[in-house]
Amino acid sequence: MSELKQEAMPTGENNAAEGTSRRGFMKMLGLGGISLAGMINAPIEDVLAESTSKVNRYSSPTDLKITDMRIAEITGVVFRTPIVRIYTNQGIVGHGDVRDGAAKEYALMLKSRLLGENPCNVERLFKKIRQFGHHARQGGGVSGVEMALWDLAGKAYGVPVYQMLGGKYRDRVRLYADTTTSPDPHEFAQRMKERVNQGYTALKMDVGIGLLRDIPGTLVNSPYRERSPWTYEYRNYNQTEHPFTGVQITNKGIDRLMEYLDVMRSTIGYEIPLGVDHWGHFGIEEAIKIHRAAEPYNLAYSEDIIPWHYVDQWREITMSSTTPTVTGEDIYGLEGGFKELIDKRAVNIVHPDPNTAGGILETKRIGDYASAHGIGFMHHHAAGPVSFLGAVHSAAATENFLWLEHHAVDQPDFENLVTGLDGPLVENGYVKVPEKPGIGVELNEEVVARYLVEGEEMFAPTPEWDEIRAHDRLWS
Amino acid sequence: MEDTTPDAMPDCESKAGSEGTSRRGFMKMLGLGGISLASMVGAPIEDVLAETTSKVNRYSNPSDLKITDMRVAVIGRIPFRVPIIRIDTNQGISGFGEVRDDGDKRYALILKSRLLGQNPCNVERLFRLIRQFGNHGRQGGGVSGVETALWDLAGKAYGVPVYQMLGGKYRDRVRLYADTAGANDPHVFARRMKETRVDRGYTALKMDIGIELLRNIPGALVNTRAHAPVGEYALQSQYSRNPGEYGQIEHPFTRIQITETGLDAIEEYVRVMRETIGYEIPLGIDHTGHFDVDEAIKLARRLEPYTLAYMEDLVAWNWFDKWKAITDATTTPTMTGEDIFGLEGGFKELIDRQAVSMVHPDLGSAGGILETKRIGDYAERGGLAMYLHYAGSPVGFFASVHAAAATYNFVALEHHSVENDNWYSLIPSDTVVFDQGYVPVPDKPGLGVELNEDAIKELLIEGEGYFEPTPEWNEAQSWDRLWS
Repeated sequence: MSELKQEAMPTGENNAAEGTSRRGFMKMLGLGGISLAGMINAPIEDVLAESTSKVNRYSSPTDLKITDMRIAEITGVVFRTPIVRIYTNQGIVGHGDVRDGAAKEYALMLKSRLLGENPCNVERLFKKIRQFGHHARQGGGVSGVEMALWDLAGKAYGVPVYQMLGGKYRDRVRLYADTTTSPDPHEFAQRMKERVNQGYTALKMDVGIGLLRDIPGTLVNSPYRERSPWTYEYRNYNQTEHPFTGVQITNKGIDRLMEYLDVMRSTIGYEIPLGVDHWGHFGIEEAIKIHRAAEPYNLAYSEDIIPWHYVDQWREITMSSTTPTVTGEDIYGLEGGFKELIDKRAVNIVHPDPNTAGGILETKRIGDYASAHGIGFMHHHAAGPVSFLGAVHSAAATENFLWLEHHAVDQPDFENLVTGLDGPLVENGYVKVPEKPGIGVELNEEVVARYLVEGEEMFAPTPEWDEIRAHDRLWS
Repeated sequence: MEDTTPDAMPDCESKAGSEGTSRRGFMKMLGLGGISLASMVGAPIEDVLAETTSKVNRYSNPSDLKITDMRVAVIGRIPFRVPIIRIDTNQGISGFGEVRDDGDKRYALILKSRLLGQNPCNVERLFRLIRQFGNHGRQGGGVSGVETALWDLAGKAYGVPVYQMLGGKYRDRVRLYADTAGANDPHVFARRMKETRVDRGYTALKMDIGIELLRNIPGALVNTRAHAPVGEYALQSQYSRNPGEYGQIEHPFTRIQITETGLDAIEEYVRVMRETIGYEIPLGIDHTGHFDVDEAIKLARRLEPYTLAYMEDLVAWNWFDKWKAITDATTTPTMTGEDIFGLEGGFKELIDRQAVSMVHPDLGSAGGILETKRIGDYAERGGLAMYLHYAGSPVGFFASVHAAAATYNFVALEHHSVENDNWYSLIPSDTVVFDQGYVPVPDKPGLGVELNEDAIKELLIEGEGYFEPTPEWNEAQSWDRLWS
């Protein structure tokens, strides 16, 4: 509590004079309306209850108001991530991450809409700012702010966030991890085996056509050949969506890709769910060829093999093989986003990133909607520890949740960015659901300062975002 | 933090510091409570206060909370009969809910064996565990009442009002609508509504106008004799419980029709009502009687000039296509829902088809607080507003207030006991139920309403006890999984 409190008042000062604290404390009790005279013979529980009944809140929630929003942008320990902090008139602050690789402006744009509002009314405020979010990184502003609001609401009432989502389905949340890819299948598998030894119970590997770049006869219209097909285009291969690259994979190429899966399964066995991501950019026929070839390896899923918004093409891929499909890390929101994918049963599992999807509650809504349609639910994550734990709350409170990505397994300072954890962040491939108020952690500013992006300041004032001049209503 | 102190401590008194005994006693208590002040000399006062209260900062210890019992007190005369359920825990806190008005206590008790030993804070998980035992109508009352009691417990365990556990609130006051104050004479009817409702500040009203009012008007109705006692021409009550009687025959099968004379007579009630209360106030109509779609359309079209807020339950809710036909045929808005359990398998189809203009769940049938909000949220996405039906005790009433506060498209909540002193006797006299047409959203933990023990005992139904033990419901003997 004292630790939490200290964190909650980062700019607080000690006003009580040294040596007078006991007298001061008794005076506080008096001011606090505590009357012990009438309770001499009462049970201790009653005495304690009475003596603390008026100070039962961390804050006074109904009078809580947002006063400021500031940013600290970090990199190195995680992908570049702007951390958003929302300030209030009662000394408590809330934190969230604008998504990894996103711009801090996506959050700051919302500041003028939030000043003076009560952060406890999370859903109402979410509806107010939802229009300023969009798919992929642009969803990070709304999502990061939503998480910070939950953090505040939880702190104001002294309640962990999951409890404000209807309670939890589990006390520990299962993680999945990936590792760096090696061109040598055996070396790759050994690296993955390390993850197993660390205790992870769900894994993902990146296997893409980039691994075929130097092997003749594996790719048609290869983006890697000396004179690239994109030489005279306005965009390169990386910016070209899958249906439009014209890249094809030969049988030889497929065989080579499958060798990675074969060696991996031989090394780590079949008990552990294993997904594959980052295949490359090619059309649905190539995707189907890969999925069919991969069937013997019983993948848990194949991820983002085409862009998420080609919903009908996803359905065709899903129907064409027994390899399960998954997408979603770039999708913002249920309506206008995941809904169609789920309605059409275009994938087997949905994979929102809470930092793009719209935050904690919207991610749960997506999971609930998927659940009602018999579709699994897993979380992508690659930003900082605050939103990682925000995702843990959402995962704990959603029935069909499977596993959450931990993208900073090799970064010991990842969990040092925060204080308040009850032991190590990860144990045996699971993370314990925090029981402390809000998301359950505060920032360790010393560590955060070490990873600040060059030229960025720690939570510097942002008065230029205090006002907005636009009539932002999506309807007339 | 300084800002919060005055608000968090509203009832400032200064006694503790002046009493030697109590100071010593309190310091001793602090020691017993595991609080060590010795190590904190010199720390800021905020830290001292925080440390001394850190062990008792919760009303309870939520993660170790367990359900130990479920008991019931069935009360009546508020005006209906309502089983109030109490869920007890291992930490001395209890949560309250109610089986819907005129429901059976066993609809809740059947759930007891599934809940014993569970942590009540995991509301959604437990709801999914018991959802299969609820059904439409009064059978939804067990699941709904238990869910309400679980929220009450979760809120009390954490010291949080329920609305905050639903995502926060959209409004600080919830609008009420008052039910009918009927009479056979249109002018008496209208005057009563004016004097007992409008003049007291209600801003939304509902009136019951059924074809039973026409029973003595010759030529007003067709085919009533088949639904009257043998040899009589009068219409039986629509509330009859006897199988085969009018009250138990679904609308399409009575083949009762309303003549022009009948339509004229009904219109007269509404005309006089509007003349008396004016047009600013939204006015709905309910309990029109049991007849099929064509009669409903005739009636709805005839009443269009009076700009009704809605016509309610014109046919049974499960006739979605009939509802759609009525809604599409008139500019009088339509509404149904008080008997529907749940979103999936219930409201969803009604909303998907745009079969009504508004939805009208009763929290006591719909599945409780969160399910009612889910229904409202789904209706919002379908562009439909939500009224809330309510006719039970203050427990369910305030449960409805929390759901209403946390749902965007909510319009108004029914208060069915406007003049019922028994109803008010159940809650402390300083509880604000009505303030110029609105009820303030409680900020106290859980539902934020305390029940008056004496009043419950006073209102107990004959033969019913006051939260007596229910050990016969401790064990379940059935393999209840809906899928294989």
